Amino acid sequence: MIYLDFAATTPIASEVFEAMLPYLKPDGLHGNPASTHGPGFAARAAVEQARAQVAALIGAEPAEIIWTSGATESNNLAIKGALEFRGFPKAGRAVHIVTSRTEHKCVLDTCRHLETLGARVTYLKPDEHGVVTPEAVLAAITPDTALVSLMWVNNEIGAVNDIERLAPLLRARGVMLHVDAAQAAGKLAIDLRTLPVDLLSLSAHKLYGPKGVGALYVRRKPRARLSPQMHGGGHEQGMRSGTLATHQVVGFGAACTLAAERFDADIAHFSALRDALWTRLQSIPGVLRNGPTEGERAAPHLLNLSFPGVEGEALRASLPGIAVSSGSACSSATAEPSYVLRALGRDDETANASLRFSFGRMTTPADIEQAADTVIAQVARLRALSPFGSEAPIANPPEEAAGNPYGYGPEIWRLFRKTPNAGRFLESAPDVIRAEAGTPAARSVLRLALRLDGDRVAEARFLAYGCPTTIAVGAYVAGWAQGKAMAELVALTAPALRSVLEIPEDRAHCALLGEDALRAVFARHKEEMA
Amino acid sequence: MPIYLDYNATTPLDPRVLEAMLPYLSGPYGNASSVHRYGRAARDAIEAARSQVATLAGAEVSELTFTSGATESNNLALKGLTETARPSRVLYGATEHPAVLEAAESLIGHGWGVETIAVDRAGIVDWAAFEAQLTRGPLRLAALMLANNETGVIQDTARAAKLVHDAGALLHVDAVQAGGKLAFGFSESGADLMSLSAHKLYGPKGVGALLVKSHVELAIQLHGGGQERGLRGGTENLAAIVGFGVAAELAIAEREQRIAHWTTLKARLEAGLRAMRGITIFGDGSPRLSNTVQFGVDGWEGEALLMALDRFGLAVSSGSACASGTGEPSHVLIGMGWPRDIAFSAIRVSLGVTSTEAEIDRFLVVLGDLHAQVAAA
Repeated sequence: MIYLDFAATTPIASEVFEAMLPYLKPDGLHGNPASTHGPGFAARAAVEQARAQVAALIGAEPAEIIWTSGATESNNLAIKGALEFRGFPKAGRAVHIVTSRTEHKCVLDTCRHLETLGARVTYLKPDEHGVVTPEAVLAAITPDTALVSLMWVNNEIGAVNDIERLAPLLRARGVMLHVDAAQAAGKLAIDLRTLPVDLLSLSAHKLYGPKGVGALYVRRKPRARLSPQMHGGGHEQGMRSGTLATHQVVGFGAACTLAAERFDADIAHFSALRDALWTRLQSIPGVLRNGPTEGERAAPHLLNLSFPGVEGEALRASLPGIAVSSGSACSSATAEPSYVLRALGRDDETANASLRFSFGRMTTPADIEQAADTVIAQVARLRALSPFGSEAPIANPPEEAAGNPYGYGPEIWRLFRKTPNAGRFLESAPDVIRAEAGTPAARSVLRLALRLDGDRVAEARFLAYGCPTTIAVGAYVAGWAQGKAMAELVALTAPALRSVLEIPEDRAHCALLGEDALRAVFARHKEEMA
Repeated sequence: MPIYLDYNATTPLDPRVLEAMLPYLSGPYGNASSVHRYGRAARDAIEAARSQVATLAGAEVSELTFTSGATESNNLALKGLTETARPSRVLYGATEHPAVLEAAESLIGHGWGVETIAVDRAGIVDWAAFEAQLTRGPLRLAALMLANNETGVIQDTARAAKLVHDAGALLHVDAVQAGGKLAFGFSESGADLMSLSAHKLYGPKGVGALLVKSHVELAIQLHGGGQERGLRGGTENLAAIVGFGVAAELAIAEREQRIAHWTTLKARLEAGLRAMRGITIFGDGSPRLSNTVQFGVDGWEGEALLMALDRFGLAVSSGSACASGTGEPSHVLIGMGWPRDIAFSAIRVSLGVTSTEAEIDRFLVVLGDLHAQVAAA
């Protein structure tokens, strides 16, 4: 398995793991950092050292670092806390937030929640590369604007917003700036001594640290003021209560020190891998790169590509040996195409047919070569399978290829991988009936072609554009139709297909597509006979 | 190495828990929201842990939401229940943990009437006063802890649940200190919501849980990502969740022997304390956790005694770690009606699974010596 999903989460670096381990053992370092005795003081000292390490990575003072349970909490605390400190929600007083459409889901969800409480939110549309310019932000500022919340590096497409230019402009206007830097830390230089950002969110597990810990930078001079969102005990200068998880905080600190030490090497490594993969995949006809293509507006560790003409789920299922994502892990449970790509102006079909490759310290050039070979082959295969695609021969993957990572039913998986009866007849072939069902907009089309011998189906072929279940239905239906009399074709119904292929409820439409295609070809035959 | 007698503040990891967590700390595990194989392995591990923790609490798997700890669980319960409701009243026990107390107090700014539920000198709810209080106006929620973190006093939450439900309100129970130390079931407890923490039962810090009955509607407090069935956003803390699960499983398997062990040690400790002059055991006579003893030492200021004990390598607490260093006497003891000077002299000893008789004896000797010095002065 080639892991190319480092933007979703990184493994813990061995140096980080070593630093954490003593705090997980019962050797006197297990104390509660809030306790006033030996074990408590020892834990506290470790927490404070880690705070200094995190601060050092971003040019902050240790006292400006507030520990949280992760970037989601940091973003929630920054946005809600800043508004609440200003008295929000208060009747009769307008409060305005400026953010962008391509923020991480936790920022968007927080802003939508605040809208229900009466805040006004401007969601800026990025340019065609996914960048929100300082000019666009300034144009949206009103006298009621309490906060601008803008990510530094987009988690799906790697677009880098120009925070260096934006921050001083907002400071000059007295508008508070929150920056989600979860994908920026360790990937680009951050120096808050010179950059007037007020609030900045960080996450450990995007940086080879542990999951379950993040930080919010809260500027001291001039002081950024927040109302706490988690009450009880008054930890973290009263801004965030709760027992600190010493081992996680220590791991975050160690991860930041490591990131600072490796900074130049990491950047060089990531961007070389990104460029190598892009160079290889550019050979795919029609491939589109999402996000800035070069220079300082493109994050080094991300490459997001669209492959028009293939269906996204089928594409991802065709890459069982490569862990990639269709966008943010935090949105991947939903079948919706990426809102980030839609904001860039990609249509639903193209947005759906996209992959985010993200690179890490362990990624090798050989991984990239192998991933590129696989992607090129699988895009070609799916396009050859598609009724709108190339007329290239269909090259199915070898038998020994990695298993079924998304848990399709065994028969669906087998038919999707082997695609028996896929193909087409020559346009000039006699006695061939063709019909199709479905639409590209619905991301499923099934075309059947039957060569008749009298009233019997001598041979059946299918082509399909759609998810693996759609393709499996096509393969099954074509195989089933072989040898049948035309009048028998309507006997295979969607419920029967669902039962024989074990198609789950949420894919019932794929079975219907099979029934529809059979009915269509039957109807076409009747028309031609008439 | 100091003698650690502050297990209610936090427990070390059980080595078996650490063992279970290690692959998730050093291995190639993914984001549990990713749909590829690494992500699915992470998801499976989380669901196994959910089942283990739910079993400990006698709850349904579907009732359990993982959080970053009990402070978040308590905040989510109180704020989540009140955010979309028309403001009425919220009641909380006078001896609640700061996470419940401060979360409740934060609701005042949102128009809620917030009142404490009185307890008697022994730390038990004043039931007559509580019943009268319930009738005094509309009520959304009452919060009452199952076992107190300082005194170990155990509250009859089932009785409270009946009264609160009769008043048309919901009951939240902070069961953090009871977890692993007391057999209880969420389903039978009558509670509508319940908080748990891993690091009080030999699991890792940084993870807790909130149990929510299916009839309860809770407004999300951490927005984004839709994890935990939409109730709590944020990438799951995989290793910690796995550790919580194993700690819960061990707590069930070993509960009887742990309680027996603590009961023996506690009897030895209390016998020693009772043999000294000027010692007041708080919550004496009330049902209490088998591992917890909080007492006042005549003539001492608790923080000073704590520091003196620390110099002798004895790690104990004056009360809640979450309130240490505030310079205020324990709100728990004040809430129970103890005078400030006695409350100021409080020391809490809380026992762990590895505590020994020798540790108790050493503690008693050092305390006796320190106590004698003050008495002689």
